[in-house]
Amino acid sequence: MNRYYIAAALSLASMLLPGCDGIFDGIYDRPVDDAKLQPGFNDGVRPNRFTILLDARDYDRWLFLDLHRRTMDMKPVPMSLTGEWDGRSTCARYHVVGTRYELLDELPVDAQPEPKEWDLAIHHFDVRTNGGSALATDYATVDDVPEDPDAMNAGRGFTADSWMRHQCIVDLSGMFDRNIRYQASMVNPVLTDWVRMDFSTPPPKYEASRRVYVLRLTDGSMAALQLKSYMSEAGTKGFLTIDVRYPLASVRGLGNNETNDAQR
Amino acid sequence: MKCRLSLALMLLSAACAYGRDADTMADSLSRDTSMLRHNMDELVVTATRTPRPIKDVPVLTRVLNRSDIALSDAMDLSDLLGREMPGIEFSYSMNQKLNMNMGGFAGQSVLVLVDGERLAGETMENVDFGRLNLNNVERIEIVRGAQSALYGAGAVGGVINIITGGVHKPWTLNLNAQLADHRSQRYGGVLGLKRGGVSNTLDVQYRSRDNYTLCMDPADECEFRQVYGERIWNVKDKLTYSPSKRLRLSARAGYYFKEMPTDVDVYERSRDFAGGLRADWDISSVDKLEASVYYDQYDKSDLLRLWGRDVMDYRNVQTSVRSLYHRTLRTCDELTVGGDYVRNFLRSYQFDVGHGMVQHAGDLFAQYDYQADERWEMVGAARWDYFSDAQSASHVTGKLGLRYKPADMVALRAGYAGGFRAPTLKEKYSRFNMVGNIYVYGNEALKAEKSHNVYLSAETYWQHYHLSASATYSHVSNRISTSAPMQGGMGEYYIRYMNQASADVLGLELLAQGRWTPATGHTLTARTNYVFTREWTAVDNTTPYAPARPHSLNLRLDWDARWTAFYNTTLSVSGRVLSAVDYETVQMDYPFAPRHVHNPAYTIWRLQLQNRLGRAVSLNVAVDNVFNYAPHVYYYNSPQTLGANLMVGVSVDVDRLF
Repeated sequence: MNRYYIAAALSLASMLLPGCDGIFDGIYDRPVDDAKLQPGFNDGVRPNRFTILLDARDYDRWLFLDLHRRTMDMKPVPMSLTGEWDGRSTCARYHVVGTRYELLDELPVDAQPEPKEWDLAIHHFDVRTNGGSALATDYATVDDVPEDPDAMNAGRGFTADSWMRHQCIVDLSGMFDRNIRYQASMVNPVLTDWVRMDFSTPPPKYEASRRVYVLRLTDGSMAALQLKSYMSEAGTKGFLTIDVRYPLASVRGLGNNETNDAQR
Repeated sequence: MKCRLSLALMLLSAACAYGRDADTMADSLSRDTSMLRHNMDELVVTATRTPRPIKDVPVLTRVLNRSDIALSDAMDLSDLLGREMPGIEFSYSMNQKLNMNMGGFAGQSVLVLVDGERLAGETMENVDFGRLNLNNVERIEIVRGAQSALYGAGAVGGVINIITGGVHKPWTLNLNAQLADHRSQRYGGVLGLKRGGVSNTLDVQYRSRDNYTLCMDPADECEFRQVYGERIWNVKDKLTYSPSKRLRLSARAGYYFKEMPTDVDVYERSRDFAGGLRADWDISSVDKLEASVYYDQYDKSDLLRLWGRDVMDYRNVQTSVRSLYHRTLRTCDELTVGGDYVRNFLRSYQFDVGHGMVQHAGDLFAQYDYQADERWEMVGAARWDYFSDAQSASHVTGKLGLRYKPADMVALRAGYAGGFRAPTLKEKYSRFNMVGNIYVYGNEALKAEKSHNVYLSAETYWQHYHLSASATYSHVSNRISTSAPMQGGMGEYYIRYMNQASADVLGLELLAQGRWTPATGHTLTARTNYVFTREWTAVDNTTPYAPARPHSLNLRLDWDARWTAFYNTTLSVSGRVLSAVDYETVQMDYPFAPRHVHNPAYTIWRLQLQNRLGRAVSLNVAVDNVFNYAPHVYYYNSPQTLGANLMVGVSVDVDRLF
């Protein structure tokens, strides 16, 4: 019997010494390197079904998406005034307590630059549209949305963008003192609700709505959007994976840039 | 005569180190359940690393024994110490990480040991207190002040040593449970088996709690709004084999799992895998050798619920080999010589390199405990520590303690102890975005933190009274801290680990305890502890931190009643009064303006009735925070309570039912 105990002891010792850098790696999922992620549009199984991966970690830029051409452009958030002031673009710091915003300082800045063609813009988790409007639905996936969501949601109107003074955070470093700097900007309040961010007690807390949204563009076409994740597979917040069905109506040839251009 | 008694006690030490006889414990439990009401011949090991009666030990030691723990029905170590030990305060830091402050020293300066072994892993410089359940704890020894000459780096502010129990009957089985508010629940069991020279103790515990919101009004400037729920599994097994009376071999293994839903979509997880072997060899009646190898791996991961992935982002592995030799000289003197080697591996999301870092540490130490006569005892120790990958790779620490007993039941103690703490891998190599645009940078040029500590105490036990007064003073140089926020070259804001020029800590502790028997079968025990702590820090560019509350007072009254041979009760009223604390800090927001912080005073009281049915069953009913205190604003160091909390606990020693 003693031999068994001695053998067990030796076996345990032999396990301990070689495992100096750790054991049981297999119980975890394989780490994913964020640096290897390739943001952009990824084709799906159907021409009007695709996903978009965005690196929206930075607070100092907007990512502009053109759903027709499936292109992406980036424009920095202006932090100073270099020309004539448009009378409303500001960068302001507030002391934020709950829903109370006490203005600490405010700078007039240049208007947010935009590319010529775009449909949807993302700033971290904030969303704006290019003159469009949006509707939150109860569908489980973008594939469940009917081709004419207007009919399905009669009486539940779409919501257009509005000018918001404290939604687009450009500097979160004062979070510990609840002093947050915002860019005053057009924002679509419905789409922006796809991730709720609470920074009242650092670190920020996030919650995805998991809802499917319908975006109506100025040309009348519609897109179904669902934020599948606001973090990378490594857990880095700010990597957005968006399921898209665009256009909702099955138009032959969509997904082809020329056809999309023609539709505009 | 005195020495012979000590020798006899030392011979008993082996048994004591692995658990007092369960029957004796039960009897003790039924006779006397008051806090800090101990047999003054109770052996403690932490202060000298040799078993000594608590009344004789040259360094003042506080003990919470098994009966104290049973009466407290505490959820874990932090719950127990926070409630029962004055001068120890637990508070939260960012993202609900638990911080300990013991007499002005934060978690990184207080060494927490389990059966003499260090714990791997830290969060915000503190060990994971969730690992430290009290299911099978024999006693907890607390030694304040520097102990680096015996324990090396980290023991600048003191040592908390948790000593687990063993099994001394053919079988024992304890089952216990506790229910409280917020669906807080704890279920545990300890199974002991013994046959011949082989014994095994299996300790299993599960506990959980739901999230709850403290700060309802979003307009309140709470530092803390929600207490995260948690789900914890703790499994430990210890196998002991004694091939002879002189040799004892033991193997232990442990698994720990904690999950906290810190976010709707992200659950933080921690796991620990531990295992070790140990040999205790009584070479002769005067020689004893201990040797051990221990492996402790602490992992942190995030369960990303949106992806269904469990991604590990932190791992600390400590592999240690230890040896300790004792020799009794001149009948009563004790020579202790030892050496340790620790390999410390750390891989962390806080490093900007993809691989882990390794630090090797080795030490040699010797202590001589000289007992001149029955009145005088002197203990001196010196230790040499070596750290790889450090600015000052080696360090020598010393201590000298004196105990004088002018009368049988009076002990005066005084001494000096050096302390030091080597910079950790995290403090040297961190480089990460903490949150928002604030970065934390490590500092490879960090020097070791050093301290000089003196202490003085007087203690007397007279009939049913116990009085104690002690004072400690520490001067810390090169204290490792973080800088005030600065703006970096890329426009980012950052804080950086750095050495603080100096810090001084003064601590005073008063304890008074009395015990009366107003009628047969009825015992009243009253105890009060008061702790004063004062900290001074040099004005420099370090981040100001929340200092210890200057005044802390604990009061406790226990009424033990034996109603029948089968039914006993203990009615306890205990309270804690903590003074306000004011300090200056800076805003983390540019231009880093000064900010005054005031954390208000508060008091929390608890009423508890422990019912003991026979020798096997104990039923605890307690109302925590009986006066329904709720802070107006929840700060990190506010009690995380919404008001009175009803707790019901039960413990059954199944083997005693038959």
